[in-house]
Amino acid sequence: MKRIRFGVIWVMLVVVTLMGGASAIAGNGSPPFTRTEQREACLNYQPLRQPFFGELHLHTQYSTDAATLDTRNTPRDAYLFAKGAKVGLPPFINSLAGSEPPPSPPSPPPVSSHPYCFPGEQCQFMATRTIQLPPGRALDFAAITDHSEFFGEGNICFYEEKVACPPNSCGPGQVCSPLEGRCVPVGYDSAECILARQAIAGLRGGLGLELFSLYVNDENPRRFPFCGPNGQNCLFQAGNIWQQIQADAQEAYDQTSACTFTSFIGYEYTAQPSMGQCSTGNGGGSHAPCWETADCHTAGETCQTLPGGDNLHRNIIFRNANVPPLPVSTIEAPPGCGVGASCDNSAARGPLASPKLLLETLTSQCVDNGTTSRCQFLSIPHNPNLSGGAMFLMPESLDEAQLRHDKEPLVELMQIKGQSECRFSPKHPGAWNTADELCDFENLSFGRLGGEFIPDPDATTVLPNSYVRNTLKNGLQFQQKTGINPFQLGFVGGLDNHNGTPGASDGEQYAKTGAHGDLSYAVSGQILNQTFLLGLETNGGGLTGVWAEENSRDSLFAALQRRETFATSGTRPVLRLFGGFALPGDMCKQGNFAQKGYDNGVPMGGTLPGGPTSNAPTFAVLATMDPGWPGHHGTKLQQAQIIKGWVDANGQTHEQVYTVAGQPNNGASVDLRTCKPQGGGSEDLCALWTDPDFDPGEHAFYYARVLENPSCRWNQFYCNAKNIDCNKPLGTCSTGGGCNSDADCHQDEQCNPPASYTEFEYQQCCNSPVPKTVQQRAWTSPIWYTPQQ
Amino acid sequence: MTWCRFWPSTLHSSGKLRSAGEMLRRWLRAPVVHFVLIGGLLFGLSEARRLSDEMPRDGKPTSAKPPSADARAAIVFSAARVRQLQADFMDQFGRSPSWQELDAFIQQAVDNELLEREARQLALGLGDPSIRMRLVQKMRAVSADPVKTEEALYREAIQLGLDDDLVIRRLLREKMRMLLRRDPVDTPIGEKDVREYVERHRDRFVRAEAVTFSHVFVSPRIHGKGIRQEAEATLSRLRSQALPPQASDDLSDPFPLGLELRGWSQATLARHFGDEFADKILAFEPGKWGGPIASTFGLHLVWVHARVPGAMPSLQAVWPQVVRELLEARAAENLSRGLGWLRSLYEVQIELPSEMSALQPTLARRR
Repeated sequence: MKRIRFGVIWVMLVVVTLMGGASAIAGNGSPPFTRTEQREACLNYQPLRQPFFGELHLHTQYSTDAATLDTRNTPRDAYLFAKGAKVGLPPFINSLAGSEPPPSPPSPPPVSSHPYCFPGEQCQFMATRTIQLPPGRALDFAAITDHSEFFGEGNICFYEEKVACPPNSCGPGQVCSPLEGRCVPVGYDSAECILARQAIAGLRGGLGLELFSLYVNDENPRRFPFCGPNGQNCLFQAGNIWQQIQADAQEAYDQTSACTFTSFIGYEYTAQPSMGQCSTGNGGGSHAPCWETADCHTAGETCQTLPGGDNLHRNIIFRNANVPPLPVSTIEAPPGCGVGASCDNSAARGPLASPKLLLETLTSQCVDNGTTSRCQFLSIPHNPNLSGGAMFLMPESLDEAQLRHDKEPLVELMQIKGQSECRFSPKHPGAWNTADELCDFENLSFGRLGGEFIPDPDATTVLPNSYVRNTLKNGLQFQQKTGINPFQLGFVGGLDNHNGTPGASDGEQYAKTGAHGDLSYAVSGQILNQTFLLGLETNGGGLTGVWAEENSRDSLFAALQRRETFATSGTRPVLRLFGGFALPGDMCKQGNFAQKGYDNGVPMGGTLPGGPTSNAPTFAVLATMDPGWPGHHGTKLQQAQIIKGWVDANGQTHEQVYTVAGQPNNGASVDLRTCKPQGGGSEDLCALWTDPDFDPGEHAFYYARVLENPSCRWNQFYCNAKNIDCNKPLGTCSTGGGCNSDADCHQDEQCNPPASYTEFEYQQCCNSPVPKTVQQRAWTSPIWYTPQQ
Repeated sequence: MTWCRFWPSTLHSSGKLRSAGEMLRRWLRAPVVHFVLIGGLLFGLSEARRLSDEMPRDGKPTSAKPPSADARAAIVFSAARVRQLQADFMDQFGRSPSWQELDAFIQQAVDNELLEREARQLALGLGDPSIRMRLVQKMRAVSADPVKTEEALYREAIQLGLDDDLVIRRLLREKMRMLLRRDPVDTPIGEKDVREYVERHRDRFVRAEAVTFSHVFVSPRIHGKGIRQEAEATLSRLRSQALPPQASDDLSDPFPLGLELRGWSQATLARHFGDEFADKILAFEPGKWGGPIASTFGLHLVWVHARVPGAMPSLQAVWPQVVRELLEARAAENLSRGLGWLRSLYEVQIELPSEMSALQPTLARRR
C-alpha cells in the first residue's frame, strides 16, 4: 500500500510539472493567454501570432432604431452574414396574395422572431434587396452590439408572434390583448409602442430614437411608465433578449479545432447626454461640457444649451460565455452628471461625462461576481469625433484614471460616422493641434449627435479633444503628473451598421445598400445629402485587425486587452509593428520579422520602459496590401508613416509625423469613370526607423499609419452606376442642346437630365464638397515609451 | 408407457390429489398456459399497434372506429380544374409544364386541398385571430348595418360563406401544416441522435484539410523586375545547401503573416494568398522545397511540413447547431408523414382532360 501511494505521488508530481511546463510557450518572451473556457484546441495555433479580421460594432433588429428602420436581421442572421451567407435588406413587401399575417405558432415564444424570405419567394415579409460578402471576405470574428437600453422595450413594442388566446395561454410577462386576441408582452398596447410601430408602418425612415431619446439624452434617464414599477416589465423582457443574444453567439462560435469563426457576446452602452457647453457668449469660452452653470469653472462662463447630445457611446465586449444576467445600460449607470442640483442619481454624481459608474458596476457584476467567475469585459468607446470634446475629459481621480486605463484599453478609431484619429482643414490649418494634411480624411461637419450641420467647422464648433491623437497626448500629460495614463488607447475599427451586416465595409457595396435600413434605400435623397448626419459624409466603415495565436475567444480577447490590434478604414491591408532598443538592423531585409520583433522588442500596443541611459528606440513596420478578391484587386500601398506624440518637461504636448517608407508623391491616381487604379505603389512596405529626436526623459507614443494609393470613394461608385459624367452637362433642353440649368435653355424650357439620374444626384456627384477619391489607410495601436522614474 | 399431457395432472405420481395451491403453481408452470399467455400478449400488442397507426399523428382524439374514406367527402378535381392548374403553371413559370412537372403541380394542389379540408374538419379556423379579423373586415365592407358588433359580423360572415376566399384558405393550410409538423411525443434529442446526424452529414461538419508549411518570401518591392531570377536562385541555394526550413529564415524577405503557417485550410489560404497559391500548395509533397509559386504579394518558395487531414469535430463543439437542425428535420418528417396520412384519409378523384391522358399511369400508380 505504502509503495503504491508513493508511486502515485510521484506520478502526480510529474504530471503537474509537465502541465506547468506545457503552459509556457517556446520561442518568444510574450506570455501566453489564459484559457477561461473548455473547447477543442485550435489546429492553427501559432505562438508568433497571425492576423484576424473582424467586426466589433454592429446593430440588428434587437436595436430599436434599427427595428424602426425596418431591419429584420437578428444576431443569428448577422453571424450567418459574417460567415459568408446572403441575407435580406428592407424594404420588405408582402408577397402573399392577401395582406394578412400567417397563422400562429403553437405557443408564444419569449422573443419574437422576425422571419423574412428572399426575392421571388412568397411570405409576409419578402426582402426586396439582398447582400452578401464577396468570396473570401468572410470575417474571422464578430461582436454584435445592440443598444442595451431598449432591449426590453424593443421586444415589447415589436413583438410579432400571433398566438391566439384563447385557446392558448400566454407566457410569462405576457397578456392576452383584447384588441387583437393574441398574446403580447405587457406594454405592447402602450402609446409609445404604438408610435414606434407607426414609424415602421409609415416608412417614416426616422431613426425611432426620437421616441427613446429620453433614455439616452437625459441627465436622469428613466424608463417609460409602461415598463412597470422599477422598469420591471422591460427588464424582464430585456433578460429574454439577452438570453437570445447569448444563444445566438454560442451557436455561431466555432468550437471545433477548425476555429473558423469566433463570436463575442456584447452590447452597446448608448449614453449621449444633451449637455451644454460653457461659453462666454458669441462662441467664445472653453466649450467645456456642462449641465448647469455650476459645472463651469472658468470665470464669466455660463452653460449654454445646444441641440443634440454628446456621444459617449461604448461597446461592451465580454471575454466568454460568463456574462452578467442583464447588460448595464445608461439607465442603470448613466455617465457622470456633475454635482449640480438636477442630478438625482447619487452614484452618478461626480465627474461630468465619466464612464466611472458604468465601469465600476460592470466590474462588480462581472469580474468580482462569484457566480460569474472568469467573467471579463472591455469597454470600447467610439465616435469621440461626435462627443463635443466630452469623451476623454481628464479624470478627476486616480481611481477613475486607473479604471479607464484597465477597462478601456481601446478606441474605435474609424467607423461609418467618420474617423477620429485627427482633423485637418485647409481653411483652418492647425485648428485641431495638427498640421498633418492627411488628417483631412472622412471628417464630419458635425460636432455631436443630433446637433446641427456646421457649414464651416473650426476648433470652436468641433473641439480638438474630440480627436484621439490629441487624447493620446493628454494621456501622456496626465501620466507625467500622476504615473497613470487614463488614455492608453489601442486602435480598432468597426462599422456601426444598422442593417445587421457585419464587416460590409466595401465602398462599392455601401453605395448600393447604405447602412441604415430604409433610410439608406438607394432612391433616398438622404444618402447623398451632406447636411444629413447619415448622408454623404458617412462611409462604409472600418475593420479591426487582431494579432493572436489562434481564432478563439480567449486568444482574441487577450490580444484586445494587450492592444495588439490595428484599425483599417474598411480595406484589409495587414500591418505589423515592433519597437525596441535593440531591433536587428536587417529586420526589413531578410528573415523572420515577427520572431526578431518579439525577441528584441514589443509589438503594437506594448510599452517600452526607459532605462538609465536609453538609446533612441527603433521601430520596424511591415505592411502588405489588401489582396482583394476574385475580380476585384486590392489597392497598392503608397506610404508608411510613424506618428510620434510626446510631452516635454513643461507639460506641453507635441506631435510629429515621419514618412518612413514608400513614395508619398508617387503620382498614383484613379480613373474616375472606371475606378481603376493608375500609377505606381507597392504590394508591401517595410521600414526600420529610429527616432531622431529622442529624449529619454519624455513620455511618448509612436504608432504607424499606412496609406493605400487613391481609390474611388463610395459616392463615385454611386455616381458611376447612375451614368453621371461630370464632364458632360447636367441634361438637355427640351429643344435640344446641353444645359446645366433651366437658365441655359430658351424661355419656358426646362433642362432635363436623362432617365438614369436626377438633378440633385448630378449636383451632389459633381459639385459637392465631398471628395470623389480617398486614400484608404490603416493604423497600428501605439507603442508607448515610459521614462524611468 | 408415459404419454405427454399438455396440461398438468391433478394427481401426484403417487396417485394422491394435489392441493389447490399446488395445482395453481403447476398450471402456472405449464407450457400450454405460457403458450396461451404469450399468444394473447402478441395479439394484444398487434391490435394496439394497428389502432395507434390509425390514430392521427396530431394526437387529437378520434372516434374509436378506424377512419375510412366514407367519413370524409371525396376530393374531386374536375377536368376544368386540371386545365386551370396547367394555366396557373404557365403563369407562374412562363412556359408549359412537362408531364412530370404537371403531375407534381397537380399533386401539390391535391395536397393543398387535403390540408384545407382537414383544417376545416378540425375547425382550425375557429380561434384564429387573423382569420377572424379578415372576415370581420369583409363583412363590414358588405354589410348594410354599420353598428353591428364584431362577433355578430363574424358569425354572419361564416353564415354567408365568406370564409371561402384565397387568403383564408391559405391560412388554414398553413395552420394544418403547423399542426402536422408538431412532435406529439416530443422526445428529447440525445447524444445518439446528434452523433447519427453528424455522421449522415459528414461532408458539412468535417474540418477541411489543412496544411502546415514554411516559406521563403521574395518581394517584388525589393527585387523589382529580377524577382523571378532571385526566386530561382534562392531555390537552388536552398536545395544545394540542403537547408531545412528552420535555417531558411534569413533567405526570406520579411513577411507580416509569418514564415511558418500552421494548419491553414484552403479557404484561408485563398483568402490571403489567392486561389492560385492555395490550389498549388495543396498539391505539394511534404518535406522538400518547391516553387516558386505566385501570390498577390510576390513569389514564394514553399516547404510543406504536413498536410493535416480533415477530421470530425467533437459532438460538444457542434451540439447547438445540430440540435437546431435536427428539430427542423423532425418537423419536416412529421409533416411528410402527416401528409401521407392525410392522403390515405381521403378519396381523391382526378378527372383528366383527354389531352392529358399521358398522366393516367402516374396518377394510377400513386393510388
